[in-house]
Amino acid sequence: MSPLPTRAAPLSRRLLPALVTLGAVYPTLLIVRGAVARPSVFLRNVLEGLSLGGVYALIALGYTMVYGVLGLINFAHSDVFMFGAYVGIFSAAFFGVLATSSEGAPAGVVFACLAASMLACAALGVTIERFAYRPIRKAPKLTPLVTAIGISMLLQNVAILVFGATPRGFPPIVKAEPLAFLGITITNIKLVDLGAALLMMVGLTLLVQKTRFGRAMRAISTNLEAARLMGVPIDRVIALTFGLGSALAGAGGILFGIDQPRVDPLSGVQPGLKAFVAAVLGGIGNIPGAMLGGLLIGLVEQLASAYLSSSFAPAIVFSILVVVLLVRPAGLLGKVTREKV
Amino acid sequence: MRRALVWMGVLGLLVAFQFAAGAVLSEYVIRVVSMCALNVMLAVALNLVNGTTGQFSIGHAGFMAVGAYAGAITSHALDGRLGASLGPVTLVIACAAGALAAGVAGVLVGAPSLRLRGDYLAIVTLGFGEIIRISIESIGVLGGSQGYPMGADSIPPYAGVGWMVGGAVLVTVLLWHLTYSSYGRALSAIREDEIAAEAAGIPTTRYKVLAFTVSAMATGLAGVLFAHDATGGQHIDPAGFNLNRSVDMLVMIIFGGLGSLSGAVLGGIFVAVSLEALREFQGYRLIAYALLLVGLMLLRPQGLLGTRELSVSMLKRLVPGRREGGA
Repeated sequence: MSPLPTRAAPLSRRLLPALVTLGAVYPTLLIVRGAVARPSVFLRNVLEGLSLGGVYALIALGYTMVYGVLGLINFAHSDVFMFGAYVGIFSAAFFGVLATSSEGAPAGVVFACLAASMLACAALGVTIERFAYRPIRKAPKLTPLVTAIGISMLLQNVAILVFGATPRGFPPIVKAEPLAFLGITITNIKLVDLGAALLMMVGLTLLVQKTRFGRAMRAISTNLEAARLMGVPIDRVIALTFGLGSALAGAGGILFGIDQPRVDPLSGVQPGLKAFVAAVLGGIGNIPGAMLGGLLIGLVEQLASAYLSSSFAPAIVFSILVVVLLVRPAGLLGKVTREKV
Repeated sequence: MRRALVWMGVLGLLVAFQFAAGAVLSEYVIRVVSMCALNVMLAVALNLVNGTTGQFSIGHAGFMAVGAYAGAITSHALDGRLGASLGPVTLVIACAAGALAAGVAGVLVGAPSLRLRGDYLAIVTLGFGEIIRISIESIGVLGGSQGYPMGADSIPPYAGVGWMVGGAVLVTVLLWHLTYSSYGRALSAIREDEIAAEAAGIPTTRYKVLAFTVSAMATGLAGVLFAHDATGGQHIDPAGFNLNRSVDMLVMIIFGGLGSLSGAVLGGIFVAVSLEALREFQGYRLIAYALLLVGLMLLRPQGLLGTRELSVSMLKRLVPGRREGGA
């Protein structure tokens, strides 16, 4: 912020935390009351929330990595996620698993679908970067943002044309079975999702922290020009970052699909927006932040829809976004930077 | 005196247009003209924030929703008492109510969020837009996702084409005067360099909130007219005010050139007419629209006019052989 104090800002800045606390007390009490009344149901809700959150985290990672290297909000990312779900449908059909099947598929088929979706999404992400974002990398900030919105529109409408606007069922490549432990019953799909998401997050952390590519990515994220001068192949690393982020979105598309088996050309928008909220919550550009933010947002959404109001739960998620940005724009794990004149 | 005469002339023309249009123009043309007028209102309103002041809102559909719902509820309540013969009175009161409600929403959204800049402001407005839409969707009295009004009821279709064009003229003229007043200069100064503007004594926060509120009011007015549009469905639902609507508004002002009021007018008309002209190519038209947007960003990111206004000398330069001055 500017060094000069303005007249309106201090008041709102003093009032905001108080208002936020007031607004958050009542819903929190409701959730605590529900948790105390039936602890086992609460445990199930927490697990389901974390499972949803794991998928959000995978999508959020793509937003945050791209923002880290380019400073761009990649609006088209949510549609890459949608594309991943469609690739999942088609590759499962290739192995003979249709949406109407009642049997699950062998593990090999599940991995093949996952790999197909991740590869296809990575290819899509790299293509988008090459033809839409690379030519305008040096343009003023608004230009890439509008381009991203345009690409998002393009992907949605191409999907409507090619895949049709009617929703399709997602094939049950993982058969849903109830599991009972600790006095609760939960479907195995939630645990598969959570486990797969956590595994991928561990893999990504290793990739970013331990490999040359990861180091190059972090270097670009810190300072693009300095990284270029140190001999980091900027174009290749940025393209790979897009590919990696999109592959995670593709995996997210499969995991989301087996949990909520309904896919249409606009079905990426809402999960995409929530994942984006997760990225901002954790601190956009910050990789552990996106993981934490994703899990938190999934948890909040699940608890809000279980204990408050299921139709209002998305609004609560967006309220969190607004509050975080107003109170702590850098996010939970982000570094606070001061603007210099 | 002369100004008053000009205004009465304009009003007379609009009234004549309202009544004569049905006889002279086909229903189709009237619908397209109404749509153009609606787009012009939305584009000009958004341009005040995104163009002139250089802030970035992608949540204006929320203000349109607030205006549309407030206006529709007002006219729904009044219509039974005043009757159809007093339709214009009902509509004017509905417009005032809608603009006021949207203005209040604008202050509530703008005051806290305009401290943020660039991307972050865009995200917060997007968040607020979604919050408004989801809130409307989960309020039973407003019809939820089924829309308002419920059942066989409908919003009275008082906003004929004269009203739509009148609204567009009103918003454009008012915002033109605002943009080229000392207030408008201050807003442009904020766009060019916020810190320098503040150093020059402009209370930047207050001016940004002012611009945001005025823009929200104009968007709310557009929402009211949209709800009462005689060529529309006499029904509004929350899905009509989603992110896509905000993006539509953004596309209009980007086509025209951010910061150019006449560009916003052109952009609004262009989007309405081109979507209408491509209606035959159903599936392809939105693809073409998206490609056009991306192409524009790659080739001419400042839009059709940039920040300049359309003027006679600019038109003269377009005529070959009569080039005056440098390019």
